[in-house]
Amino acid sequence: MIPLLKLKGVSKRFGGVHALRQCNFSLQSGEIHFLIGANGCGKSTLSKIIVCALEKDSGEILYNGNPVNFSNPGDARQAGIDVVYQELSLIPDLSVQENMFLGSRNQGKLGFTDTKAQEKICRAALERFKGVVSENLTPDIPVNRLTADERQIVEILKVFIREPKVIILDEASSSLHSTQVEILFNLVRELKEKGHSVIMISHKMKELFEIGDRATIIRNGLTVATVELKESSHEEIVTHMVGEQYFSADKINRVPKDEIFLTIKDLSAGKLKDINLTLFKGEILGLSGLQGQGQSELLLTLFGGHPEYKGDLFLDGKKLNLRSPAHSVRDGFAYISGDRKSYGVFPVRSILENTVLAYLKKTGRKFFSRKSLRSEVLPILERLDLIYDNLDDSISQLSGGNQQKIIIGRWLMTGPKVILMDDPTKGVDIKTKEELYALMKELCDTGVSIIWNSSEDQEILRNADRVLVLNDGWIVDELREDRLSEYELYKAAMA
Amino acid sequence: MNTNFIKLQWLRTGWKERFRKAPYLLAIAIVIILMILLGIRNPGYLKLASLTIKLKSWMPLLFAAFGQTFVILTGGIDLSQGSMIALVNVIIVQVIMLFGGSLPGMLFAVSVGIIVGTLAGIINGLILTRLRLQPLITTYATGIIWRGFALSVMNEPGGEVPMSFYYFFSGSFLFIPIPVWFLSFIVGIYLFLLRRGAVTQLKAIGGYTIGAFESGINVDRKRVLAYGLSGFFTALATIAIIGETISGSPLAGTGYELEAISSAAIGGASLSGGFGSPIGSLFGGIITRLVNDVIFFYGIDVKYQQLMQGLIIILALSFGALLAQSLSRSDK
Repeated sequence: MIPLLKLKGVSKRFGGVHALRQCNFSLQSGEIHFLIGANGCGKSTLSKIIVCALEKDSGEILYNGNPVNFSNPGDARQAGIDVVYQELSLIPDLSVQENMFLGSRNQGKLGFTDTKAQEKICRAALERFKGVVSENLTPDIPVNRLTADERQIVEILKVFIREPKVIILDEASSSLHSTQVEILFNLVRELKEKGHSVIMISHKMKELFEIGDRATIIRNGLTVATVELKESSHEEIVTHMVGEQYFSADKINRVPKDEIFLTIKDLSAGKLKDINLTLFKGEILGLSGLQGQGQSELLLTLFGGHPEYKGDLFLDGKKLNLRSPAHSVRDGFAYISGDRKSYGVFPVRSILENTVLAYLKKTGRKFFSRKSLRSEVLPILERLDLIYDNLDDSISQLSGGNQQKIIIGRWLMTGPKVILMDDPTKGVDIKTKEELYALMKELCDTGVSIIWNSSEDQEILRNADRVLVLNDGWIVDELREDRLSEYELYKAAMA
Repeated sequence: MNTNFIKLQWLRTGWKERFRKAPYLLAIAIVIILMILLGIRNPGYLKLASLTIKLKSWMPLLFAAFGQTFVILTGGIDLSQGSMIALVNVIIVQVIMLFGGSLPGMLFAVSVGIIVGTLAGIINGLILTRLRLQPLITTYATGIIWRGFALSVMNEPGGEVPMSFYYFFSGSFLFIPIPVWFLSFIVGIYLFLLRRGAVTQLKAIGGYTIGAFESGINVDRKRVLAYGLSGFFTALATIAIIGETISGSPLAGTGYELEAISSAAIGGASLSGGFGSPIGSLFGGIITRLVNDVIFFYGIDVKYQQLMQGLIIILALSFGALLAQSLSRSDK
């Protein structure tokens, strides 16, 4: 049987990074096919390439056995392939109805839009989700007034009303409640019965085995296997995802002091639910799991970003009140983000200015001489092995890794007790990354503790003393010693 | 007390809802207030005959603002509008003179002018989309080019257009003044585009370009359409200008683009794109012109006229901005 959709050797690079290399994939009529893979392995890229929301670098796409070359998503839609985008394609200021029919051919007389007919279809579609969304969700409400789950539903219906031959759902269920997911699955099953095909990207193993026929596993931009789900297991899929087990010989088990430093009891804030954890003095505690499961929120809460949090926190026996970043800094927290542009660097300003910022605030010094500041900054930068020309050079001239070192230096000057790191090695080259890991360990040896969220599973498994796995705002597992492996990580993260 | 509060809330959201659907309501309110101010001072101002004459002199700005809005909706800007007026102006006048001021000659000249304006707009759009350049700087540059072309067609103000051109715009057809016909015509074009879904697509591009692209809109083509429309309406504005000046000038239209942009903003359009209405820009343009008249009729010293004009525009803009702020706050 000719597959409905077939991808042969599809590749895509972003700059120097291979997002996809030689991807092969085939989709049969009337099947529900899952795309599975770790963080950033190329699943969304693949789905965008199918409809030409992204251009492929090489490879071939066959649809009904014929090679196709769409020039934009509109062409793909005409051919009957449509995507429910992970980041949603909705226009905030337009109404639900306008969004649902955006970019579709006008069906009315003389090619005019028949708003009455559209409204009828729109209402009928919304009817499917009646009872599990608020009364608010009507055809004429602007999308920016909807909640996250309602927007997701509109994005889903926008595609379903067209009944495409191939429908791609990119993490469409992740922001839905279980009752809403049930309705989505009913829609998917109905399409399947009509002989249409569905490609689903999801991280939830439960969904995979509940509704899927086959699954293709992608690892580092490569399609590594396609399995029949009836004959497969949770373990087999996770094994394909992480590949050869990585047993690192260079992993040195550091022994943190057996002294409890930070205690968090029943912390809830935003997405976080009942977080309980203890951090030991001199420990590197990793936070991991799929992206966006509450890791960043936990760090931000500790840094005073969620003043309305619930729960009790004690640092060194002292009860904390995390009202604002200023309070957190005073209590001894430091925050380093991988998103340096938004949260770290003051572009154009000099290295010196970027380094002393937090220190000046913490010490409350109003008057200072450049000379004395220099003499205080120099030893810190020396400790960081920062290579630079002049303290007055703009920070923007430095590489990402060196910029990150300066941000670390900024906080070291304040003498922090706990350093919160949110994916700090993002966009940092390999050599500097290794230096940063060494620096983290060195800092911990001096009694500082680090809570570290990373989207790179390897680095955290190799360098953290203990790793907490988060899923949907809960801590679902704690990995230590022998269990510090990708296999265990994904088993917990995707349960 | 509790029920009172709920009632008040209902009233307020009612207004907000209405404003969301028709962003030009505020502009209409300001027009009415200014009209009342003028009527108090000078009752003759509000007579039909007087308003018709006024409308005729407002037409160029109204058309320019109307056209500019399509571009603004996509999140772009057309700074070449003023120079485009000059180019179309001198071309029309030269062609009219070429045909010795005959009626077929005039009709032909006007058609040529409309084609040139529309083409200039399309060229703006093509440069922007093909070369992926910024609208602000691109249309600034093409504006210089249009002005340069205009100077090469007619290097100094001059030329002669038959007075019939002037009388045409002051006249009426089927008892309805010509300017009203013109306005109905452009509103008709807008309604056509609206029913075709084109206006929604332009808003979508300005609101969230990637989403519009992913929804299957041919973003580049629609952006070219927006600049083409801007050129088309700018050409209409030029024809109205010739109806006033009955001569040609390569310096015509200087500063029009900024007046048009500010009129659109006063009329409720968001300069970051995605929100607004060309109808609102018509009222925005009327406000811009009425402000001058209010200053004049209230006998404000000439020295202070510009000062007042700027202040009133800021006031009108901030009303809109405050309203938009309270709208987005109620979203949260």
